[in-house]
Amino acid sequence: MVPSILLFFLRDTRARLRIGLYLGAEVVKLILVIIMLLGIYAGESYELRVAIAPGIDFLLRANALAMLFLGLSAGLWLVTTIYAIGYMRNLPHHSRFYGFFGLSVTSTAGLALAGNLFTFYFFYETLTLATYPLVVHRQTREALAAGRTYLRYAVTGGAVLLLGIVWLQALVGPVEFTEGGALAGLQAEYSATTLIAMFVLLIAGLGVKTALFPLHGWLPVAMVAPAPVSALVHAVAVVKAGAFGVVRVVYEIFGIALAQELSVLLPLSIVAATTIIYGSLRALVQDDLKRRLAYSTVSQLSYITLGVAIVGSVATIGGIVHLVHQGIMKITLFFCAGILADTLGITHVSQMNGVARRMPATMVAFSIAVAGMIGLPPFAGFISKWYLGMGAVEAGQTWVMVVLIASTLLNMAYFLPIVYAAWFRTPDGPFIDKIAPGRFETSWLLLLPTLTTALLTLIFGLFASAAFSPLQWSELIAARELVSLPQVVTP
Amino acid sequence: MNIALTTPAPWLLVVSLPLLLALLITLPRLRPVMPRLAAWSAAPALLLAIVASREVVVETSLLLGMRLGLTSVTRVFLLFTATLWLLAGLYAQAYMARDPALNRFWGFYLLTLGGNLGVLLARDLVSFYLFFTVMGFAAYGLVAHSRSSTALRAARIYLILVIMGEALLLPALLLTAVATASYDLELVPLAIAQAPNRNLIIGLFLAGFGVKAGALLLHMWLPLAHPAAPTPASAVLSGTMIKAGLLGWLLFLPLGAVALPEWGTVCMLAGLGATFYGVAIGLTQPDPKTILAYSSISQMGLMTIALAVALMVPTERSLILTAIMIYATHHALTKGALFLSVGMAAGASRVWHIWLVGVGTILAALAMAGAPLSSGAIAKVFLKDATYIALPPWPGWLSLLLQLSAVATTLLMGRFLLAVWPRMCDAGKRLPPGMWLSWLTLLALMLGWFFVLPSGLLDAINRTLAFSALWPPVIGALIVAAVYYGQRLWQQRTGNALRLVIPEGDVLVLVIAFLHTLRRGWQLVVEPRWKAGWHHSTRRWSVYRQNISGWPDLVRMERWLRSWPVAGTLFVVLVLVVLLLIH
Repeated sequence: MVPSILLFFLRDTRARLRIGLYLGAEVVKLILVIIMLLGIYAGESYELRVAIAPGIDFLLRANALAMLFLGLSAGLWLVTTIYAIGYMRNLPHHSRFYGFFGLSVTSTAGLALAGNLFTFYFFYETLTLATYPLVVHRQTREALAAGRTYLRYAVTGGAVLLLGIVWLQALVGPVEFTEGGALAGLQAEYSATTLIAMFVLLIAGLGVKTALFPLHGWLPVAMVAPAPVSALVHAVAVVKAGAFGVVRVVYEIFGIALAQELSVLLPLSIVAATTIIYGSLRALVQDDLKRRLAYSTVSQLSYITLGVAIVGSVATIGGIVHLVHQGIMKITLFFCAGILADTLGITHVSQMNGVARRMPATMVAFSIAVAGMIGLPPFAGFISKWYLGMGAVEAGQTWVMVVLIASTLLNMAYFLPIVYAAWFRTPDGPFIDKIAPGRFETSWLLLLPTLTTALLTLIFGLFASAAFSPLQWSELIAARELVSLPQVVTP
Repeated sequence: MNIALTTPAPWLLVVSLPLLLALLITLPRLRPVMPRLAAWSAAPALLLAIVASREVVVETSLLLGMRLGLTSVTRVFLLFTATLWLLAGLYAQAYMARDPALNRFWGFYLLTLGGNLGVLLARDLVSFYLFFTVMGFAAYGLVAHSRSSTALRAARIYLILVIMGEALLLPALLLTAVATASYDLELVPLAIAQAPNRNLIIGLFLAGFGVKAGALLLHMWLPLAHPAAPTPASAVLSGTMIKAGLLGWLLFLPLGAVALPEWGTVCMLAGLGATFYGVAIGLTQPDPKTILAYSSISQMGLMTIALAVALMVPTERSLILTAIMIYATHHALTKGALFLSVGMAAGASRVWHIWLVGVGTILAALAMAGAPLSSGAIAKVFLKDATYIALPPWPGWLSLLLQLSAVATTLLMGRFLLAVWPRMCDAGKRLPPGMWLSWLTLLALMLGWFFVLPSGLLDAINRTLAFSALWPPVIGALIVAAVYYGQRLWQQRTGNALRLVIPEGDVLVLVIAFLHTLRRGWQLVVEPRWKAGWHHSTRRWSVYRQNISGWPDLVRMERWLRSWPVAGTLFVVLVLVVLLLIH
């Protein structure tokens, strides 16, 4: 099985322009991921280890958690590529775009599979470098400024993360991600202060990418990127790398028991809750559609961190499953925003009156994703919210539930007016097509991925109890990660 | 007939049929046949309610393990709900035939129907919430249907209250799920009774479902939304959907498990308040549909009183449940018939139309007022029996108050009849056979449904002829007549009519005024300062961005850091530090 993992990296891109080859590689990758999923489910494990220096291994290892993220990135990469083919026709520099696009997804796959902190850090920085050209793709002044901001945040975050990693390595030796926590049982040897400081460094470094308040500044600015990039950045690539890192650090480095003992989880959950509310409040006043979505990402991402920070299997499931759910819902929203901008030149909420008459299918997808974001049943977001809420109650942290309700209301406040305007208002004037409409309301290359992810939003919610749904997979992860905790019986 | 339906398929079909049809309506090719299909889409549910054995639950793997089924209580709810939806659907098929936005109407109609049926069939917490939400949000489309500014305003206020209800229900459900350690609705009441935070849960449920049930002070959306919706939609809104709130109370409150005299008192006061408040405001309304909406608030108040007794006296749960079920059935059918009558009266264009519609409307109004031998009188007998067992000092008061409420209801029905009385319309209006058929069927059902009651319960029919049941409607009718002729006399003498009109939504006006004051206060006091501070800080930022001299040190430092020698040296130092740390 080792060669199969290697195969991801054979496709290391640069000058790969042939779209057929590109898609072929993706399909192959997706199939491999599915094979691995089945294997992991059966209890197998896959590993690739290359020694780089004494004590520093380049380690790729697939466990249940890794596969969740890998599956998400492989699946969404495929739909995003199809979308990108449709979207990028009017933009220059295709080869550069696809090159870095592939590179960043490769980094994401690497991140998912990374078996130790060193490997994780390697791909983490690769991701930063590979996404920068994508963010500044348009090369306007604004784009370049956004790119600079992005780099400032990302590189600083990376440096802080590196410091944390090096410190950890120096103290404990090579640390591999271990289900249940690599440091579990070691707390007696080191002072609590040291461990807490390390935790803070690691989380702060990762917090930049996962846009924890107040480290979120780059995310709304990076909106200048082309739509497929924004979609991927917000759904899976960059922000999820951070969130995924947080999950890894809490569960597989420290272990939930140790983290609880160090009492770092309550502050973390407070930061997450603050971010949730703050992001929503900022989203409320944005007229630029993509900016509103960006602040919504800031808010929604912290659901994951929140789920991680609450002790208990139910909240854990809620947090982890939101990795996937937020991904498919947000990518749908960004796809829709891209379609509106590309086809009709609509970039602001105030221009969206009656747009559903012109683009019913797009707005159906948009509305489904919005319902998911709000957390209405039977869509995917509801599952996350339900588990988070129950987890919070179970852990005796009722205040978290209040935060969730407040966030739900705020989500309604900034999403429902858009849906209302699109469906119920009359258009201000005729819509001006920027591209010639074909058989459908817009190019099918743009529409198909959007509808696919919208449908997934429904399926992941409605069939949450089916085998291999994200929810079931998260339950598997939670069962394996929380070995150190007394099991809580979930209904 | 008792057929055990133990496979999920028929249950899923009943719930999902309306939802699937709602999806299909988006396909232009299918649109011509849709109204016909949609009108009948409640029929399988009615069939299910008739043939399904009483206690049955099936499990599916949808959502978080959806369970569907019926209990003796929900079966009764399903019977009248499906009946009313079916008749309203057939009525709508004729009533809405010329509506320009036909498909939109049926789309929302089907979604709301699916939600409403699901609420009754759900046997687990999560799917109950799912269907409750679907119903609540889909009904927005029904209220907003005409797109007039009043309808849109009504719909907006409805939506705000739905969202409020959601925000109360979700935490209640989460707390319940954890307390129950299961999603099974069967286990909920006992688990809540034993939960340490049961008062919080009960309060949340009372308020959360109270929004839907039109409980006192949460009723603001009702008098706006019911008149705004097209007539058949108002019939189901008022007849069945507000009962979903009532059902929520019955399913989730720990009735029969624990005595909760405090909550009982709260419900009693709220119920009594709504009973009389609804009538008082309703009497001032000119629009017949608004009058009916206020009548619904008042009638739901009566059912809340019965609920209050159940909270006070846990041992008599089944007696009170029977009373509530009978009252709910009576109210659903009668209120449905009254709403459909409004549509009939507006279309009368022949003399015999006027006579027939007039007589039918009077019959329905009499039933609502509780005239002898009517379904209303029977329902009131059961309600009275249920209230005799309330904790003291209530029974003594209640017997009088219930009589008074019957007088009040009669007054309100009198007002309704005066407002709705059919006048000859131009010949352009029409009453198609579909409307006649469903209206007459509903009237017939309303007049005779109680004959299906088991014989032990049917004895109550004799008691409707007792004096205590007779005098309230008579007094009410006399007062109506006196006021009506008195006012005519007054008008002849003085030339102007006595009018007192309270705006629809009553306290809503106060709430909105309060919010406006808050906003003015914000604009006058807080906003200027806040904005000034904001401008100040953004100006400083833009100065920094444009003119580097504003923040020379930082910028110079960054420039310095960026220069190659410095950066290189720093890099080397960093590497050294790292190496040192490792060794």
